[in-house]
Amino acid sequence: MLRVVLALCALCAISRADDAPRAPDAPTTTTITNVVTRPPKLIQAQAPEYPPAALAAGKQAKVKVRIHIDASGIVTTVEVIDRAGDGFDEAAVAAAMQYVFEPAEIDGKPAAIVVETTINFVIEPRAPPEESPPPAPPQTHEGPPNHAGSLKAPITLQGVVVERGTRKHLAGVIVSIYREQGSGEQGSGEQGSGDQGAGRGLDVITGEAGDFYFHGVPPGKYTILAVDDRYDRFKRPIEISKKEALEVRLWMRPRGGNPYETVIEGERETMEVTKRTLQRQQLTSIPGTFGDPIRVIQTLPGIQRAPFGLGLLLVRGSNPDDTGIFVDGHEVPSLFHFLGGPSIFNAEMLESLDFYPGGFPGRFGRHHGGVVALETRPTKSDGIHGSAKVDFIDAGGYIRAPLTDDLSVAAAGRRSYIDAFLGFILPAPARGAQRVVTPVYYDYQARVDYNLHDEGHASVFVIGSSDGLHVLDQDPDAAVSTNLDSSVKFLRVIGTYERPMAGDLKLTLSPAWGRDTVSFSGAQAEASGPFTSIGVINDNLSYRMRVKGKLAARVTLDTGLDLLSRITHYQALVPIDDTAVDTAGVDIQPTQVFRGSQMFGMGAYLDLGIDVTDRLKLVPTLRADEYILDGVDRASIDPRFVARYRVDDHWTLKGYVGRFTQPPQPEALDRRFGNPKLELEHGMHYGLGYEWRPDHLWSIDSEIYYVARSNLVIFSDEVTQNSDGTYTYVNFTNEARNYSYGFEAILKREITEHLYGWLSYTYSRAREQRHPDSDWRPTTFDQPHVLNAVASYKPGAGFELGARFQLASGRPETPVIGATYDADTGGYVPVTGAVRSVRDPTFYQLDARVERDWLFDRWTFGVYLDVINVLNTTNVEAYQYDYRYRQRAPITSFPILPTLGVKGTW
Amino acid sequence: MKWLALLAVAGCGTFEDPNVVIDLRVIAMVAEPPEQVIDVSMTTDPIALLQQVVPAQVCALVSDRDFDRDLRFRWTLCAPGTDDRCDLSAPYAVLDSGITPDPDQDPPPPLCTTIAPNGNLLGVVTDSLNNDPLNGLGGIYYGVVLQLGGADADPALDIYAEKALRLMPNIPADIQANHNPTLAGLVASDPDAAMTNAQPMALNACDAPGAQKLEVTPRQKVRLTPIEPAGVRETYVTPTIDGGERTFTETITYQWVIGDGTLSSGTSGGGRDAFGNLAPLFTDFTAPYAADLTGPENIPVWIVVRDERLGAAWYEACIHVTP
Repeated sequence: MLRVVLALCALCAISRADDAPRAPDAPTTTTITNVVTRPPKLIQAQAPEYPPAALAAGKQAKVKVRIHIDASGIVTTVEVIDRAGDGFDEAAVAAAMQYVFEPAEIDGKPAAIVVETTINFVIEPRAPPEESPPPAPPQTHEGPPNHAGSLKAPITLQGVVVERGTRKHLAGVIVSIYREQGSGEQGSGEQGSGDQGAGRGLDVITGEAGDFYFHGVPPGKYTILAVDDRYDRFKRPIEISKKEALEVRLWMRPRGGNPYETVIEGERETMEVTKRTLQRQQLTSIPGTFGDPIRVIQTLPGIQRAPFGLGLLLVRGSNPDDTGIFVDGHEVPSLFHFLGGPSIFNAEMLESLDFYPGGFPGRFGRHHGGVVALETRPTKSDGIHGSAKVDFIDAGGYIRAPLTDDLSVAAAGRRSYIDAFLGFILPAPARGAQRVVTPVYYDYQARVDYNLHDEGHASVFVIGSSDGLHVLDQDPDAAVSTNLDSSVKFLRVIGTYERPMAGDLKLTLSPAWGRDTVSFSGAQAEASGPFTSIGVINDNLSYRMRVKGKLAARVTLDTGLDLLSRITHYQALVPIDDTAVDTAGVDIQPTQVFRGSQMFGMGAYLDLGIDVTDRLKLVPTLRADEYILDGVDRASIDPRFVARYRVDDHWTLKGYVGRFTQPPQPEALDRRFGNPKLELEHGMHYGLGYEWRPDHLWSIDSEIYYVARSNLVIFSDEVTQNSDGTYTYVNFTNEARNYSYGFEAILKREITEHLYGWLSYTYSRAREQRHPDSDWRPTTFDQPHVLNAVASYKPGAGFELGARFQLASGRPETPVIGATYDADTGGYVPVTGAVRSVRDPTFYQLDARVERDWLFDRWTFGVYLDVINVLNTTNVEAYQYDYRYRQRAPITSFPILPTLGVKGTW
Repeated sequence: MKWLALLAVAGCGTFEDPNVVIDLRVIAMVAEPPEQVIDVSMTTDPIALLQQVVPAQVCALVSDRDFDRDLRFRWTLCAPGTDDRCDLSAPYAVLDSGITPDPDQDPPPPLCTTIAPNGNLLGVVTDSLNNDPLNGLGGIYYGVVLQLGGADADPALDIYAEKALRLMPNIPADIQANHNPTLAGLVASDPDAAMTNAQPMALNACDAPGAQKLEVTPRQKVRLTPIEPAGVRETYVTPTIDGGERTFTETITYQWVIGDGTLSSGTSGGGRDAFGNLAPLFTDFTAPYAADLTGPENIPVWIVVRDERLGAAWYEACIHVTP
């Protein structure tokens, strides 16, 4: 006899949908706006009928199917992905059509979803004749799926299924008990199903907390088996006694892959055309980023390469300041520590990162470049978890813990210790001299979540960052000494309250407070106080209100209000005299300067997503802003329009046009050192593109764009003559403008068990005109070609191998064709050719990363080697010239730079 | 780690020492007077104002070490552009051109030109005034550009130097024209001996008859300290754009140029840095290695003294190195 075995293990993947926060949908877009808040749960399974002919022929098969589940949990369609023939496909479809699920939830609401699984048809040899099996409780489902046996009988075996390394409780795992063949124990061909018997007899499917219960199992020796598509099969002997119930904990080892296989087809509402979303998995394993989550966006199309690995966001030819950085909807001043340091975010605190190179939605305002939007990760009440990471540069950690059933907290921090060993590298000071160089950066994040159940959800997120540099150089024999202190800090406290409203609408209220400080002081080492100093403090108070959801079957609303109050204080002790004429070289004593500026901005926006037909979606947007800049009103109305047309299941066309407005920087409005008459800057974005998704793994997103910016603020050396004959320096004007155009494409392979990656290419040109009568010329960071290739592969055994290749046009340079000796300064003045008319050599660099993880029951230990510039290529970032501009030498980027680190997760 | 790499690449590149003259080079240019005050209280008529201007002489100190050759020169009057050269689409005038003997002889042949208060100057200063957003409140700048090359050399290899001059309106009324700074002397000392063995150093060229030279040995370090004459740092008044005035005291900077060896700094003096340090006046000279010498060698030391108001003067001293 043969025994037919069905393995339903792959179905367990369904329960992992919650780990795929932004998995891309299929046919219509590469971007997903909704998040799976609860995965579908299999509550009723049906074993397929083994095709008789195949059975007779001894054929076995695996049939991979895609199951469409509607919002009520009913299977509506089953597609065969990998056909096996011989009747297996039809049998698999017939069985899968009988599955019943508890519906998935997207954004807290039941929603349709698509999952994929593999149904195995395996023939096993009949077990030899055995003694009569012990009576086993009937396989009934009187209660929840995580209970087996008659509920009237006492629980004789219970347990919980836990992921090794993280201790995460696993829902949806199939757990079976049976008698092992040849064990000498009583067994049955009907009840005991051998190693593949998970689908028969005493099976349960673990509940939300990974728990399961068996009722009325007779005493004796059994084998317990737990199967899940993403985990190694768990199997071990157990013995159930008469006296007491047995309680077990099953540790399941991940297969080394990741859980993001499920394709989500929820009720997406794509309100923007071009958004590039990265998941946490993609954020921490890109070579050359040191596991830094935010540096990954520099590999996406639309961003030019920043020199020296600096964290500048150079988006479509705009200046770094033109791109807004938002954390949970509130703006922060920077993403990176200074001088090419890491980003300010611990990856564990990050839920997702959206990058909008242009045409962004109405909820983002006050910028005309791009937008980077980070969403922080809600904490979970699933036990105490954490991670730690140490390398040559810094060390950091993360921990989260539940305080009550509804209250949980998470915290993360990092500090550099480069200062500790810098002293061993720098030249030793002379005897009796003192030299201290202390560059220190640190950052911290904390989040508290409170579940208000039907009343919504509340959270508070705190993020802070600090970069400091202290240099003390004192030599009694030297004529000069140095005592320098500089720091850049910021802090944000962001509160968020979300609650459901009538119908499908959701309300979000979010106040935030923050302070940004920049300080510098310089003094002689022996001095009691600074000789010069600068301190800038920005106090920010912001508030956002957002209502989002379905207004009607074909209309989606995203509207809101955001307020921003920014008060800037300047305090400076500087040797300047801004009224004296021609003070070059004059020894001016420093004087105290106190200045300040105020900005109040009110913005209101409305995005309407209208499904005109099943294929055509139009999103008209209107954003209105009112600014009070040092008491002077300015206003802007920015209409935007987005259209998406789904040609078929694989192709989508898209386009947008929109106006974007940005206020001048606070210091440019200063009445003394700036120009309070400055107007708002504007940008017009145009884009047209397509998305092609031949299957759920591969996608291409491509776009051409044109951006025209006008009214740009630029420094001016002009003066105006007043009616009394005196003069006033203009300092800044709105005379500059620029434009950029280009083509962007990304070929992406979604994350699967072993592989993910993308190939991105950007062609762009950016030119600027600084004054109306000046020539158009390339912008500072104009880079026609930027190519990034990223791939990560998990061969198994805990290894992950990754590589990143970058290729980019060199930056434009102004050629130096001669020099003139300036007899009044003793130096040489370069004679230059056309501005930015030549380029540095093409930049190319290969980075690699090897990581090995060891999995223990309660924690994971990993070692990684991240190597920048594996090929040790010499890349020119700039040139330096000799004193009379006859010789030049390249300033090159990083040579080969390996970094070894360790990390632990529990 | 990236910081370390950045530090590592920051200092890359080995260039010629800017303090050592190795070929044709303009070391200094001096105008006399460097600045003139014109009275604008009675008239603004350009012709009338020009009558207040006196001729100014501009001279250049040139060295052409390693070459024995005559030089081709050209002096051009203009309002120099951002590259300190004359824009040939704007008013300019060639003041003089020709051939001058090898400058490395004693006494060096004069290489000077004179800017006469004529129509050429009027055209240039008018152009300068038209491009000045302050309408000359901070002075009307003009300059002379010296183009220099070997008499038979490719003109593409010519070098250029520019000296600015200024006409100042008498705003405020008590404004005084600048005078070129001077140097009283030079002191040589052991840098490690705190001036206990300081000795005066003659200001004369190496080839001058009876020249006094500072005797040193290879790699010997000598601290050279200028001696400022009293009153060299003039106090002056400058107008402000809001109708007022400011009073400042000049800073004096010293540029050091040598024929061989090395200097701790090519410039000394000047104002305070951002940390409040008043820059020292001295520089430390280190004689060349013995292996680099073929025998006793005279090393010229040129000192260019400048204030921040276009005033300048040059001096020469001599160091004799004996292996």
